[in-house]
Amino acid sequence: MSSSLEKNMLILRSSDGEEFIVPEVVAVMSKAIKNMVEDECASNTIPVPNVDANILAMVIEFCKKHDESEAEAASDLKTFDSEFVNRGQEALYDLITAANFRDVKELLDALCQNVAEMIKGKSVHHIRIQFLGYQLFEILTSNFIWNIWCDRDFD
Amino acid sequence: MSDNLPQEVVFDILARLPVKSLLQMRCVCKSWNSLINSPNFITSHTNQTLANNNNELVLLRHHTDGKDQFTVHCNNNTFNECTTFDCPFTNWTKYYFRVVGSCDGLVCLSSHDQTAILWNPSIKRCLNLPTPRITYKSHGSYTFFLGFGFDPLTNDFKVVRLVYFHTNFGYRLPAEVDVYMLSIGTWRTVNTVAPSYSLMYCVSHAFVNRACHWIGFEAMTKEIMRYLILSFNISTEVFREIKLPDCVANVFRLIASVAVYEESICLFHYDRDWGYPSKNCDIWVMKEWCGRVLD
Repeated sequence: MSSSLEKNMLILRSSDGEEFIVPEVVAVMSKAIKNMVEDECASNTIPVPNVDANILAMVIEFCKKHDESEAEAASDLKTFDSEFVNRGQEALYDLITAANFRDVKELLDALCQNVAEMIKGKSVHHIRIQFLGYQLFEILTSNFIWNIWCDRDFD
Repeated sequence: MSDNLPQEVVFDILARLPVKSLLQMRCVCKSWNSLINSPNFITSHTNQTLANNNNELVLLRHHTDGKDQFTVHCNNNTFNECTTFDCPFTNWTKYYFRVVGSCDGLVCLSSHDQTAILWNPSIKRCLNLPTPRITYKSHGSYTFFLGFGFDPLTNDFKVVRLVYFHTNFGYRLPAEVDVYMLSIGTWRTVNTVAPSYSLMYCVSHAFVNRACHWIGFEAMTKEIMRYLILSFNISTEVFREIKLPDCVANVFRLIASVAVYEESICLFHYDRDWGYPSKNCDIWVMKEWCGRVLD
């Protein structure tokens, strides 16, 4: 049983089978992986289901940066975070799912903050179509009452 | 996107939005509406806003051109105006409203004709409190004092009402105490007997450490008063007295008010200038809690 590989490295395997060698300190920023390591049920390779190689690489990049830059100025890290989460909606969705499922608190925080910034100042119609993927037909039928509501001025 | 996101993530995202956006987002879909209106979300949003909000604000009430107006200012050297709220209930009473207190974004207002209102300016909603047990009609003349605060134990806002009946020579002691709880929506009489102190009329009230504070006094002789601060803890519903320094406690006809200074109670003591408050003011801040529980 080697919960920690030589030099404290762990191997993470993405859903599409790609393997990443990651320092343990970086990997355990995911609470889910940390629990596995602490319970000593992490064998040589830790499978990360539901997360493909592309997204896993991004998550690891984020965690590495946060691990390295603990001593760095908080403002630098903030800039990195805001640039990191500035992605297309599909990647954002996958990242949120991964961060939530693997319990990576810092990443989830940065992502949620980013989505909140995107929502701020947008109209209700915009949110429905962009975030909820509503079709126009659905809006016209099931949400008729709500449409009357959103014409009200909340200023 | 949101349909597929776990509920707790949507909760986390929405909790980061300002109130104005949230009001609009209630119209996005039914699940967002019920999430935003849930007590759990409201508590979490309030806590998050309080934790991230590091610029303190001051609420001012003006009465200009026959109209009540409220403005919020930044509590720094610039004292810039952030927002203006129009008083939404000017027609409710012929008297003007005075601010009893504000707590976590809610403002409690009261007028001389017994109307008391809880007002949330950011969502433009207000609640007229029900008629209290003691009214001028039912009990004759009296003077009342209000206190307002948030009780974290019951997670509820409370309004306290102290009523002093008038007698030939002043107030009848002790005061009658009623408490209004926002979650229940009715007034309730408190069983603990209020201490035999009168309160100074028309002074502000200060809410700190879960307790409402007023300036009270007891008449030693007909002319000599001893002043003190009377507090009422809204969680335990217990009265306490805080002694004042001798040079304030034994003043002839004190002119003073209570306020909150950095999480502790403080007292503004004005000099007398031919019977009126002068421009000089001493500020006393209480360093350590030294209140005595009153039985």
